[in-house]
Amino acid sequence: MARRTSVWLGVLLTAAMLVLAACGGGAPSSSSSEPGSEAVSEGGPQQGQVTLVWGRGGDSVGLDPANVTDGESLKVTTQIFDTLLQFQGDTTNVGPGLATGCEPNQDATEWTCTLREGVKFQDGTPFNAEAVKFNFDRWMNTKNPYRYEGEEFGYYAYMFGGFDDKSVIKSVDVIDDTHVKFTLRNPLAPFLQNLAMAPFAIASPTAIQKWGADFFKNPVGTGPFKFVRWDKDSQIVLERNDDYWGEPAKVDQLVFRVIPDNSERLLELQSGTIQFADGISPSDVPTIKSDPNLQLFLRPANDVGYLAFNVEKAPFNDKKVRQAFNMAIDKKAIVDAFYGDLGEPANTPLPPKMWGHSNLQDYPYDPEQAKQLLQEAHFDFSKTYELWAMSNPRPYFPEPTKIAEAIAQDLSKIGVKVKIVTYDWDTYLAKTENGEHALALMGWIGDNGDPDNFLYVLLDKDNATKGSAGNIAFYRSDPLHELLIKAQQTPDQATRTQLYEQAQQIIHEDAPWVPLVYAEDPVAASAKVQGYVASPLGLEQLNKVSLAK
Amino acid sequence: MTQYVLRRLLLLVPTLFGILFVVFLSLHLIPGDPATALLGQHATPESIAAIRQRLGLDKPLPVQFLYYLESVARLDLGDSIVTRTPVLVELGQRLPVTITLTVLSMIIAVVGGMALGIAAAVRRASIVDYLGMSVALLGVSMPIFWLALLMIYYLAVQLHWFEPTGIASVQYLTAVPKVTNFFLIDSLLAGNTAAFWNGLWHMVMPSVALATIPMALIARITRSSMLEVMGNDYVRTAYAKGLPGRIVVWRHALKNALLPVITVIGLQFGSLLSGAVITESVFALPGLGRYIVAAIYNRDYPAVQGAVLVFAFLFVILNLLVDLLYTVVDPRIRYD
Repeated sequence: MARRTSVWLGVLLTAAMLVLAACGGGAPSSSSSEPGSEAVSEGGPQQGQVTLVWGRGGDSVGLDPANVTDGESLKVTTQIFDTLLQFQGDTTNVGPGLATGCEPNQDATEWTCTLREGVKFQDGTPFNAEAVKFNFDRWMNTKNPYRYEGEEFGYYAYMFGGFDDKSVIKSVDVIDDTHVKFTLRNPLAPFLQNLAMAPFAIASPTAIQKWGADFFKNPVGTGPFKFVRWDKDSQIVLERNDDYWGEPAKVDQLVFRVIPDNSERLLELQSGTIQFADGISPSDVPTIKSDPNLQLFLRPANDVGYLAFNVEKAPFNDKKVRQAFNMAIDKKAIVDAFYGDLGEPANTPLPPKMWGHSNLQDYPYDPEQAKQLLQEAHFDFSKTYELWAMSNPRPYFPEPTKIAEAIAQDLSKIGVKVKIVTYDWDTYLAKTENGEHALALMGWIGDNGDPDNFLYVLLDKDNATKGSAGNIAFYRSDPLHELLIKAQQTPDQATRTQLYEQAQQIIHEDAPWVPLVYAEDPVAASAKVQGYVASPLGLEQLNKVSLAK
Repeated sequence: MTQYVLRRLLLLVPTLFGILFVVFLSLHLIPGDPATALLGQHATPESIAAIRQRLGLDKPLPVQFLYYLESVARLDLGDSIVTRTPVLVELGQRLPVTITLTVLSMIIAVVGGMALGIAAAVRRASIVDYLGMSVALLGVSMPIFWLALLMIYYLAVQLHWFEPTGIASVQYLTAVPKVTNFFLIDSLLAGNTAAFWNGLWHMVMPSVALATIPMALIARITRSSMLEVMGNDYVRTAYAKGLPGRIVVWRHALKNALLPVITVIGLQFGSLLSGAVITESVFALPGLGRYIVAAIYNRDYPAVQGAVLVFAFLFVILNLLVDLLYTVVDPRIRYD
């Protein structure tokens, strides 16, 4: 009988397995549309091969850089593709990439870029002006034959004003093999900064034509690593591109592994199975620092977390009230409590490592003076004001609701009563863009390392339209607008720096925000890692990284 | 009997329809939509509108639901919004991981749980009993993620017996071509035994972590059910006839004690499937549970609906199997 029982159990389990397998059986187990199915995947690393493994929290959405907006996708595409210009080291300054340089005409409506010679895509297609034109045409024109179903190119629309007639780039023309000319509808000062952005990397025209709508699973660029295979939700495997035009990679294989849980990712790093881990919780930083087998890199801040006043709503239409709040909030204490070594108090909307950042004197923390200002402004202390916070953590606010509580406590010290209101991120964005708040926490992560991408997007009157406002303070200042527009039309960086200095002074005086914090993004690595330089944009090409024995 | 099975299978249709309806509605009720999830904070209103139009999200809800039903009827679960891959293909890649995990966990839970329960019942009120039941109590009350963290920290990081997470080491995972998407089967097909053992070894910690709760429950049910049976007259008679204890326990008592145990096993399959969601996240296994979580987060409607549909289907089929197993264990139960 006993045997019978176990037999039955066996039958049950086998049956269950069969049924389950049958359910999954509707799928072709290996179709040519699967990523990496065409790629060589016999054998992993051979003896003596060096593999670098990067652990991260989520998988990539797609590997066509132009058609993704998430960091997890761009992190990988940055290894496979190159951009015309590249951000340099730990700054947001732009230097040569696939192009050795770009020159503007007199009024900066035409840019002519000189391309590197002898560069080939990983599939052997030559890189030239034709290839550049092919890529830009595909992004710009909604009628382009190589723009496939489901390709949105969201970043292109966002950085270049839209598609077709709305695109700032009017046309891209081939002058000869190594020269390409961009004609703009109007000057665009951050044009070069935009060219260096990861989404605008140049892909192989041959591969785009060959793979069609499946190009995002079969990426081909000119970068230091070639795509090998993608096991969804598990790993993406790349190998060294031996024909790379720049400095060839120092490791044979680069693997991006998905490890969703923050603590597990750190444990993997400690056990030596991975060499990099990002998405580190601030609370784990001391552990990493005290472990001799690990090292901690900090990406210079490229973001700002702030408290926005809705200046259309009383009492926050009064500058004195806003200045008082700026003096009432103890930024330093908040940064110390919630960020440890990973943040610094903010004095302007621009992150400190970005060119154009002003060192202006911030409002002092002075509750007494704050109270006095409020009294002068006949502030109504009997009312309770709503302070909005997003419910889920963001890179610039690791614990938004707790930070809101700290602010509420500071305000209560000067007699201001505050009630905290939270919404999930999507709802929060919609409601704040619509101007339904009076006080709201918000933040911004920079795209292209250009001050315009912060000041114009977040504080210009052009972006204070209800329903789609980037400027959720709904602050409309004509003098500021003039400065920002002038800066947009000036290609010279020194002149622009001066204009942005004045712009930050105006913003400081009018106080549409309480700028709170610049948060740094920690990356943990094995002590064996050498040659890694953390970039404020968070997307480093890993060809310079090597592993000590 | 055949009629009964057919009737149960027919019941699948309204059940799945109801599930689809509820999932569809609740998904569309959570704020946010795929367009904003896809394009992020920096989207232009035009591009959001374009996406919504392309995905048919601008149509009224009932129309969207009918469209979806129609495609499901054609056994087409649609394409994932995020990855633009057919949901069926994606599920086919994820399910094998979840199946491997749940089946291994079930084996551990059934074998371990029944052994514990029988031992405790046979040596009632002895040290074995107390110890076994304390372990069971601990197993029920220990959250999966906490146990998983402890295991990873001590067994993987400190002792280096295991690698912390993943379905296999990177080099093996890369070396095995995908045929069935079951890594263990694929590695055998490729004749790579090293990869097979590596994959199996990687599944030890997750399956044990996932098995603790059902194992503890099975142990407790087995014990109480065995005790009840052992008090019966026919067991006393068997002992009185001088049969050795082994024969009495295994041949006579166990079969009658099995019924409630099977019920629990059947029910536990459901909780295993849900526990798999947590386990897969903690151990970074690319299974169905994690797929659903990511899909909900991205508001990937077709992916969530497809995955829930498959989950529900499995659940119903498993329940049917359990009911059928009753008739095998206890001939008195018949479904005519």
